[in-house]
Amino acid sequence: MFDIFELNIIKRAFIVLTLIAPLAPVFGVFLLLRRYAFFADTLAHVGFLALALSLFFKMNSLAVLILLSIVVSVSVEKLRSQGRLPAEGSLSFFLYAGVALSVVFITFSENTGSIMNILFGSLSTVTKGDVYLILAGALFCISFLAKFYKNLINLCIDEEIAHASGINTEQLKILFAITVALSISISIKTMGALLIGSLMIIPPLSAMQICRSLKSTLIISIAFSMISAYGGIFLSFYSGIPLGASISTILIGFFIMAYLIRIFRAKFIF
Amino acid sequence: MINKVEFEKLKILNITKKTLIEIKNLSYSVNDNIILENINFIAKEGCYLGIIGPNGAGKTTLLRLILGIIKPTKGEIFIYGQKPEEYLKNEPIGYLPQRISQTIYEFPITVEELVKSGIPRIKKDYKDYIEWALDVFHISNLRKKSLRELSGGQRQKAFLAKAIVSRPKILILDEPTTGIDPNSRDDLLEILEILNRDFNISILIVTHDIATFAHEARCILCLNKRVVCLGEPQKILKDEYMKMLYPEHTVFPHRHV
Repeated sequence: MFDIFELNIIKRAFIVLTLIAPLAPVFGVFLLLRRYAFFADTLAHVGFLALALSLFFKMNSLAVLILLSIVVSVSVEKLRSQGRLPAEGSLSFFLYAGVALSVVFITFSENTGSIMNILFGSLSTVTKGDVYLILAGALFCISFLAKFYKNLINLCIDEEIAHASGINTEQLKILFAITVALSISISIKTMGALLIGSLMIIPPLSAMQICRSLKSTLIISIAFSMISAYGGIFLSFYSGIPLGASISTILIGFFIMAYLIRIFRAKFIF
Repeated sequence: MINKVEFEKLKILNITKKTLIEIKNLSYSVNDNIILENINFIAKEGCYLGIIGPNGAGKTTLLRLILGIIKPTKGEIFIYGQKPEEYLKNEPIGYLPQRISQTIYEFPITVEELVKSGIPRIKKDYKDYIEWALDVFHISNLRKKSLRELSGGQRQKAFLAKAIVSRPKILILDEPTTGIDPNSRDDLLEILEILNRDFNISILIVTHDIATFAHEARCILCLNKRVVCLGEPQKILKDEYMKMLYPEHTVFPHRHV
């Protein structure tokens, strides 16, 4: 049997997932706390549009992806802050706009063979150039989290309390939106547009079932996410299931396990 | 009606203390709908100011204006001589809003983590600050408990501990006694009294519960879009308008008897 790590695409998938698997659930925790879980979904569908656009115009897809996601995420946050549209309303609008326009561009594109990869992720779509862009994006996300972690917790607990404690909430919300957009953009090629949200949201949802504190929720979420990501590479490689779907399947397994542990604890221990 | 009270008469507490909050000709309206009109008053450092008034009187709006969450349509607000946004750049204000998003109660976060988040600017001896805040509200035993496991009163105390943990000079509370039982309420008011008296934290508190605050607050501001009256509780509560708002039998219950 040959060593799968000799393959460049596998090496790249490992590097990319090592960068994004610990980041995604941390953002997921903050999105869940802000009742903004669908933010990831909306941005992912806008990401689908970006990939369709790059297919149509034959451009570097990751660069288009990053730019478009940032524009949309800032627009959603602005509309929400100004109270012009209800939060769910603006998210839905951009989600449907993303899907509808993607289909329009895909219909008129020549090479539509990679649609499955775009939707469900793939081991092979990440190019060598992408890895550097993903590394830069991940470093930006990590430094943002390191600098603003406490402020973000305050923002999620209550915006007005955060404001009173001296945090510039308007600036932080926009920075957060940009960083979430970036983290989704760098993950979308491996996880797929339809499934990137799962890597952000399912690990914290699973951890919430068994954890009592925010710290343990973060640690367990990252653990679930990383085990699923590495496991997903093997599952995808040997079974041919798209990478995003493989990772999400393992994540679902963790959620069911965590849910059963909670029920078991509630019935028999406490 | 009222508001013939002149600016000079509206000075609270003794004049030798520093001016904590100064509000000049403050008005706030939304789409021609006047919420607050021509508010003027000065609150001195160390004050315990109860803000009362009927529903829709603009009490919460006044707090949000003081905190700089919303901007006045007209007039100015100064906290220690600075505009709210300037003041907040260097000093936090402890704040407990009327309603806190329910999401936080569905999430695993311990009392200790919540209180710790109240120190956004990292200090060396932050653990002592947390200990102190937990002690003040008698919730040290709940530190490892998740918020979702606590009662309404305990959650309220956890949020209050978060509000004071960075030892702010000002504590602003919007109806903190709503939804908690009378014993917890008395307990809470006693703690606020201690914070004000022993730790020199100035307190601004909005309430409907005038009966209670007739005792604790050393000064009462009655709002109804304008300043209806302002002064010491015993004097204010005799005001004709106040009698109409709060009939006398509800005004002086003997809570400490």
